[in-house]
Amino acid sequence: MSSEWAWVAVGYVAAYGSVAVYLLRLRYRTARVDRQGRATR
Amino acid sequence: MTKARQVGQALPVVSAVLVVAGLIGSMTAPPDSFQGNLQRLMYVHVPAAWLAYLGFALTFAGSAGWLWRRDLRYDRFAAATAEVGVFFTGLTLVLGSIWGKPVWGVWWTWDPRLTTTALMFFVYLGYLALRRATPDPGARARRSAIFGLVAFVQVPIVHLSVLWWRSLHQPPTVLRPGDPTIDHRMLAALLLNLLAFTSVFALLVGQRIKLSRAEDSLEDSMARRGRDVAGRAVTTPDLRGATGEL
Repeated sequence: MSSEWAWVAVGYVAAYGSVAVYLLRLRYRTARVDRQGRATR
Repeated sequence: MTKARQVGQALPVVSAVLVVAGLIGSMTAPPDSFQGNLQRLMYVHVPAAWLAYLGFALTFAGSAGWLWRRDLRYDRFAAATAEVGVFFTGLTLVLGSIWGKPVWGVWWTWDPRLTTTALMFFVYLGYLALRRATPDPGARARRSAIFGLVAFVQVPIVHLSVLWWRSLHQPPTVLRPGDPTIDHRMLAALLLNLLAFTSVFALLVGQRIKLSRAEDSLEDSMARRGRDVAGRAVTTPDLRGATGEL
C-alpha cells in the first residue's frame, strides 16, 4: 500500500471510528440514565 | 405509530446503507491530478465541516425558538445540535491535519480558515461549559440561547475566511457562486457522502435529545425525592445523647 493510501486509511478510520464511538457512548449514557430513572421512581 | 417515530426507526438502517454507498463512492471516484489519492480525504473532511456549520445553524434556530416560545424542547434541541456541532468541528480539524501533513508538509499552520475554525471550536466548547455551569434550567436556557445566537456570527466568517484573507486553504468548490469547480464524478461522490454524514448527524442529534430528555426526567424524580427527604427532616431533632450532656 502506498503512503497516500495509508494517509487515506488513517483519515477514514478517524472519521468513521470517532462517529461510531460517539454514537455508542450516547446510547450507553442514555441506557444508564434510563436505568437510574427507573430505580428512582 | 407517528410518522416521526417511523422515520426515527428507519434512520439507523438508512444511515448504514448511505455510509456504505458513500464509502464505495469515495473509493471508486477518480484520483485528483495533483494530490492523487490523498484527495479522497475530501469525502470525509468536507462533510464533517458542513455538519459543523449545520449543527451551529440549528443551534441558532433552537436558541431563537427558545427566546420566542420559552419551550424547553427548543433548548434541548439547541444543546444537542451544539454538542454534535462541536464534535464535527473537532473532527474537521483532525481530518484537516491528517490531510495537511502529507500535502502541505505540516500538521497545523496559522492559516485564516484553520484559525477561525479552531476559534469556533473553542467558543462552542464555551457554550457547552456554560450549560454545565448553570444548574437552573430557566437561567441555563436563557443564557445559552443568547450565546447560541451571538456565536453563530462565526460560521459565515469561517466559510468566507478563504476569500477575505490570503489563505493556504483552498477556496470553496461547491458552496460558491457559479458551477462547482470539481470533476462531476468527484462531485457525485462528495454529495453522496454529504447525504450519508447528514443522515448520521440526524441519528446523533436524535440520540442526544433522547439523552437530555432522560436526564431531565431523572433530575425531576430526584428533586421530588429530595423534597420528601427535606419534608421528613423538618421535625424537632432528637438531641438526646448527641453531646453527652443533654
